[in-house]
Amino acid sequence: MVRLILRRIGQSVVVLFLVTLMVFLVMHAMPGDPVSLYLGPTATPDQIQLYTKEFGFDQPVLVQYGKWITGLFHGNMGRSIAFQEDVGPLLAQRVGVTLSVTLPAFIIAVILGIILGVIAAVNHGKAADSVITSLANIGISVPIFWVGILLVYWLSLKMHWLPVQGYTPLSTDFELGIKKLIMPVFVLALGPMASFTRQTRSAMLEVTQQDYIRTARSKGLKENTVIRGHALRNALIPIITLMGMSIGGLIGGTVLIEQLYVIPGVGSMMMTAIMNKDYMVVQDTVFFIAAVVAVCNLIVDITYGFVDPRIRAEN
Amino acid sequence: MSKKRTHFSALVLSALVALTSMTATACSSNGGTASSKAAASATSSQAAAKPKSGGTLKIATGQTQAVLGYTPKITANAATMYLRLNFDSLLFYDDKGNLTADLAEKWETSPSDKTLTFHLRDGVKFSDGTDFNSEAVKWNIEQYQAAKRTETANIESVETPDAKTAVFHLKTWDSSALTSIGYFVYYMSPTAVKAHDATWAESNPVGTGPFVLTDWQKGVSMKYAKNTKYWRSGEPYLDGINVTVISDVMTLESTLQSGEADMIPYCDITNLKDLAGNSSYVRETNTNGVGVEGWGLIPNSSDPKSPFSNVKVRQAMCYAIDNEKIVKAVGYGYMKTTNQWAAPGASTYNKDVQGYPYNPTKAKQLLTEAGYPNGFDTKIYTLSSGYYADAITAASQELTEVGIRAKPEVTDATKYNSMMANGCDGIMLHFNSISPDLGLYMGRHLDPTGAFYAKMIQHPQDALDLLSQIRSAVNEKAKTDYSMQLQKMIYDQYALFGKPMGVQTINTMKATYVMDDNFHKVNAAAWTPWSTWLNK
Repeated sequence: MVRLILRRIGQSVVVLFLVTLMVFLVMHAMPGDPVSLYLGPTATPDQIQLYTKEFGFDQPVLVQYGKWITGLFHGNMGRSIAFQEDVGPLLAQRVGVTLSVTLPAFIIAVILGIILGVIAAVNHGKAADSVITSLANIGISVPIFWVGILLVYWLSLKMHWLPVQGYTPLSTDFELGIKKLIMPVFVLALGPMASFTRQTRSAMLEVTQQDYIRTARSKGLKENTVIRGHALRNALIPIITLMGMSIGGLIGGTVLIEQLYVIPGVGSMMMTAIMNKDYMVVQDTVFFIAAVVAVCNLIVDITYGFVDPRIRAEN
Repeated sequence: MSKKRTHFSALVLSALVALTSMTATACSSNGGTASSKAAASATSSQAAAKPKSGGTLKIATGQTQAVLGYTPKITANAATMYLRLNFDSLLFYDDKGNLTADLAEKWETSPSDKTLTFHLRDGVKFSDGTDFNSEAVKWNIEQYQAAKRTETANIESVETPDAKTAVFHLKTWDSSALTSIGYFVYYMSPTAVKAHDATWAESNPVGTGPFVLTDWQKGVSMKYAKNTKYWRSGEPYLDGINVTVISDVMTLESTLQSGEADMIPYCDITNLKDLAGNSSYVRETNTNGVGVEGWGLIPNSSDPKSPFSNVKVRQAMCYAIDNEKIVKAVGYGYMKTTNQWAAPGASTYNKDVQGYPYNPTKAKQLLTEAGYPNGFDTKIYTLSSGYYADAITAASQELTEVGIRAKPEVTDATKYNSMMANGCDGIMLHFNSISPDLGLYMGRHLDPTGAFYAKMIQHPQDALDLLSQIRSAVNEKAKTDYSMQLQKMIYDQYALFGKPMGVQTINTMKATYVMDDNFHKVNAAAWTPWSTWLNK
């Protein structure tokens, strides 16, 4: 088990290095430069030169990358040209905001997705199965941006139930904070929830055909016990895999959702940074997101070992 | 779209400068009351009621800002909205586009001595309680010069004979100097900045303006409270202003509709279209042509190998495009057309300029005369955002019909900015601040060392001579006369800047109860937050 974890950590470090190098090179290969974008078209060559030097953009790309990596090891994530602030504190402020949207979305997606998937599988071929499967297909197909706009139209502008946009920390105003979170969390959870539903249904249908399920039923166990104690536990492996994969999707979704609902998280910061060619912020947020995804996948791999003794035995 | 517009709106920054210009007779004197009511009166047809104090104005905007406090570092046009909350300049504008008193009570200009003398208002304090005086003026100018700001590049020195007088000695006399120095320098508290440093000042504005910044989440929101030490008696009326930065235009619109915001300054044209006809909102726009942005198509005439180095080809290009039709289609009726470096009705709009009304037959004839009977291939560069791409696509089709096979090439803003400075190999989208001050604004394009598009155009000596005469003019009449001549020469004789297409007005959409904010009224990027009040 320890060997498995060490090997996966090693792989993650290599992936992180390659991802950040690639992003760095791509950002620098794009036309234009962040200084003239920041200063605007009225900037004089003298001004551009002044800022280019101040931010170190006059140095070779690989030297800049080297400095960034070195800074990272010393806890210095660089300075943002678009925000005119150190990236570390900026990122720290926004991580919590993003988590307050993604975490509930993830939990809701997993819990509701599994429950609906189980209901669909247990009622295979019946009306409940058809309804849930159809809804899951819709959930996967519709663009979240469109759903988001639709919800704003109905819940905010027509019904006046929820605010259009914004973020209020729950510690500041719990009720308003919750109201502002409802739409973004639901929209963000929609796609993953549909995926979990379909995956659970499919895995459950496969497992319930197995001999040991027939044996359990023939022993006279209650159907509830068969489903929860035997079928669901064995159907969890592909669902855990999907959980790991959905983290990346959720974080990607936050870029859109945070823009739409004006949530000051990592996603909206990355969007602003990309628009402004703010190298440091893009680099640091990509690093952060890649690290989160890598850690989540590591956790998934470790979880496999606990859920499935065969994997533990293999390693 | 809104983001791209931010980059280009910096062009408009330049255009803020004004009509006015030089009241500079040999050594004339001016004065004025700085009452906000003077500026406000022009615009407050809705505001027959007496202003009420109190309330918080909620602004939703796509215009964000990285620096709010260290003014030499603030260059973008969008920033003017924020700058006016915390800071003042020596001069402001009235609704006719004339410079009026602000922190300076009166001023004198002397072309022969190359000096500008400002007499400062008494009793003005920065929000930290320190005095605004001539030493503060001098110190601020030094900060602007250290930041390489063009507005202060022509200042040789600042003399401070007493606490209330600042004399600016210029390197050369320039008819635009009063506007550059009087309007574009915003005064920070030297005490506050010196007590910390410029980096601290970036996030902590300390000026003489009507509000103080109380909370700022960068790229997200700002909160302002009334400056209790403000120098205009009884103002500001509002207790505070909350700004929310929203980059998505749909969300911006919904925020206004839901009542979560009272106004959207620099409103996107799609929002205007959607909200038009709704009696709950009022559209504000510039009416005197000062500070507005023009756009058109500029060809590369500097390269001798380019077909556009021949004036007949440039004229053919102009005749081939039906800008009336294109501007109407992309501007939803919110955009005017022009045929020169001015909005119709502006003081330097020359009615004698013929321009190039749509005439494809004439275009083909000119191409044949120029030696291109079968036309030629070229490129036409545009931005990916908004209506520009649509307009250029339409223009490219019309050009192709006469034989100028211009293939549209879409670029991002950074590449476009680079092309503005270094030129391109075909035709490109042309942005220009069509302020009446041609010496300042057209000069940035026409001068061989100009910052914008200068490397891709020819620089005829007679045009440069006229430009020089505009700059050295000692009175307004001479300046306007030379400007009229230059308009005619540049457009009818040389077609140097190609085809002017539209005059883009800048708009604000607001709830009807927001009064006397004067957004865009005196010039396109200015407003008067001190006189703003809520009639509800």
